[in-house]
Amino acid sequence: MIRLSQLSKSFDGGTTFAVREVSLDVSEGETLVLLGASGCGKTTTLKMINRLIEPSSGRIEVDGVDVLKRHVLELRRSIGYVFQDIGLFPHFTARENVEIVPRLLGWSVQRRRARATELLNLVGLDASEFGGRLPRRLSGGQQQRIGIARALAADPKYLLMDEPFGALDAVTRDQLQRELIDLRAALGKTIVFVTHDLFEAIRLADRIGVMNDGRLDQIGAAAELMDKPATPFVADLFEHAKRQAALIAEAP
Amino acid sequence: MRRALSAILILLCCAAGTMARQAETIRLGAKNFTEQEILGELVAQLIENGTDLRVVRRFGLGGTDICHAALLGGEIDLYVEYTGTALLNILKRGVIANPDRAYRAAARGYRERFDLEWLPPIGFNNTYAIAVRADDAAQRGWRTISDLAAHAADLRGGFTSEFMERPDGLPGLARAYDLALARTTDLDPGLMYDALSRGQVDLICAFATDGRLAEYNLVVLEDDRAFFPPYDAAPVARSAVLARHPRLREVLAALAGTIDDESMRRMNHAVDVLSRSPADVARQWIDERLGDAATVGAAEPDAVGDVPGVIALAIERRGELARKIGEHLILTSLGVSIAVLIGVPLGILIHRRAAARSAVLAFTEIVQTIPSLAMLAFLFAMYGLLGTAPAVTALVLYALLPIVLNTFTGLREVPRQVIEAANGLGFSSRQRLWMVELPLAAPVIIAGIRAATVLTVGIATLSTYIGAGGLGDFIARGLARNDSRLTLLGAVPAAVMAVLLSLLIRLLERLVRRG
Repeated sequence: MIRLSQLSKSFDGGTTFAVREVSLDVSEGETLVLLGASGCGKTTTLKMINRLIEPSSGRIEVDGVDVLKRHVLELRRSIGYVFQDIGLFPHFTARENVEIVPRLLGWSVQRRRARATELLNLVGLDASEFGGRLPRRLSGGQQQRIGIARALAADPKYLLMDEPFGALDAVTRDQLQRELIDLRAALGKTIVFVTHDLFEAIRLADRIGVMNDGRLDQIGAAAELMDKPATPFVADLFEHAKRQAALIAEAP
Repeated sequence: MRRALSAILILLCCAAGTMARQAETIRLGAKNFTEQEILGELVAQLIENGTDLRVVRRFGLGGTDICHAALLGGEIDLYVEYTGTALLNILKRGVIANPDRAYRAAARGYRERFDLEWLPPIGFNNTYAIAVRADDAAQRGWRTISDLAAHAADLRGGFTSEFMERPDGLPGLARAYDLALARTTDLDPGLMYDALSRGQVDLICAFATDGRLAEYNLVVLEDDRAFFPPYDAAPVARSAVLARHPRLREVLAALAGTIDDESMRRMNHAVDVLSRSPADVARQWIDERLGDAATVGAAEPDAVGDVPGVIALAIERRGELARKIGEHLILTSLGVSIAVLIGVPLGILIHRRAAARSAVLAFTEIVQTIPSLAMLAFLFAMYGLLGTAPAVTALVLYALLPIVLNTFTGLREVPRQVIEAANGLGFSSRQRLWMVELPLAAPVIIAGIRAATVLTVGIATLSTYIGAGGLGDFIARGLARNDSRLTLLGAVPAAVMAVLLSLLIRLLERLVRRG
């Protein structure tokens, strides 16, 4: 379980806050989506979980242990992370990218190899065909599949995903969302997923946490948010999406 | 960093030092002009013929100060100096017009102040002289320097940079003869004669023993006011060396009073104009003078005079050429390797610590602006050593900027999202550096090393001026003699070397470029 208590972050010594007093729990096997506009603090919150950013105040516990008390590299290697701009190592092949965390953890070459082959096949890329390719010879969708495989390589219990499909075209995004749902069903990971796309949130989330100006406005299942919005911001968010959906439905 | 640099340099110096101090050797110095090389060869061959000592030749040293400091520092044991130079440049005394008194004053000063000993004078007096075109002299009736004064306002003088500044050079001459020239130009000693004979200047400062005076149809004007002090040549040696090898004194006695102005001029002519090697000319003199003339006759051929081109010269001197190329490669690779060992870590440092950035970059940039010769002279003074150590230090300093700058730039250009991914996945900062940042920056870093290598091959040609050898030896000798074939014999292989090394490194660059 991941627990955030009264978590705040200020980048300017307390004048303004990127994240204000956010408290939430992520239970085992759950997918929690942090939803909000850009600059609302959702990515900052995500990065504090594996200490890419250190909190100004408040507390984060992973499995009951304060993350600040854990060895930072060991913490990061134990949590899968999928980046918004993918961030594959351009000088490593697809296979080498997938193997990197096991390599940092000192796995044997044999074990690494086998794991990479398994994961490449799992994300739908034939290991023998794609394993030896450098990232620049892969499409955007293929690159992010490698990104996901890389995050899963050391079989982490938790997966942090920072707008992982934001840079992809709509068709590829749809496909990867579907694959992620299958993958989650197969692997049972606990996922914190950041997005600004309500439809993506509804599709993937067990619960959605809506963030607005650094605060967590409301957290709950999509239906709950839609039926009983806690703030005008949450209400607007759904109204806006409904109008868009209607627009598509009415289109000739 | 500074400590590491000093440590490397000290190691180098020790290495150079032990190499030079093997067994019973005697190290001879000579300045970087023809006459000095001939005299150096004469002394060297006399010692080699007459003793069991091994002679190390450190010729082509860039000036009196460097020779003197090398002698004091024990870097060389002996070289030939001139009385006038000793009094004015080293002892900082006024002019002594009487040659015998000048010699005695120099010898006494050196013995008392430096524990150096003057051996008997060789005989000739290589003083300054003012030379003009022979036809000018005939037409205008010039015979003495005083005759010039009336025409001075129309005359252009061409002088060596040294003559322009010496008290017994132009400043004193202008005063003594009330000579106000229309214009003066600083000229390389090797080009002065050419400039005069082509009419680009009207008078030059010649040396009384210069072999080119006759060649260019020039005449020397009489120094009717006895302005130029005597410059009698004599070997100067460290007293300790003479004490340890008493044979030296006997062997070198063969030189005393044996070469007059005219003989010296002929020998200089043989090298400067007839393109014979100083070693040959010295050998011939010894053979003729010391009796066993049977070995090398006077029929020494005008070696390459009739075979045009650098290639002929290269073939003829292939052994020496190969050695010089080897020396040049060693200087270059030592310089670049050490610069890489220092420069890449410095580049990494300034990438990580913005505070150090401007200071380091400013330092490397300022170093680039120091003229190479000034740098060499300065480093020589700092180390008190000749040869490889100061030369390599200079090369390292010049090679630093492209390496530091490219390392910094290469690291800075590693995409931000790749760095973030490395951090997010749990790379330590060392792992990030070695597995991600350096591999991605490698092509840019190697491009910097390539630039540094090309630069270093070029600058290494100047190492000749502090006796570090290399292809610069040919270039400097060629320039000093205005012998373009000799200059090209050094310059062409240096250029080829730069191009080949650059290609080699470009190949390496392609190998590491991935992704």
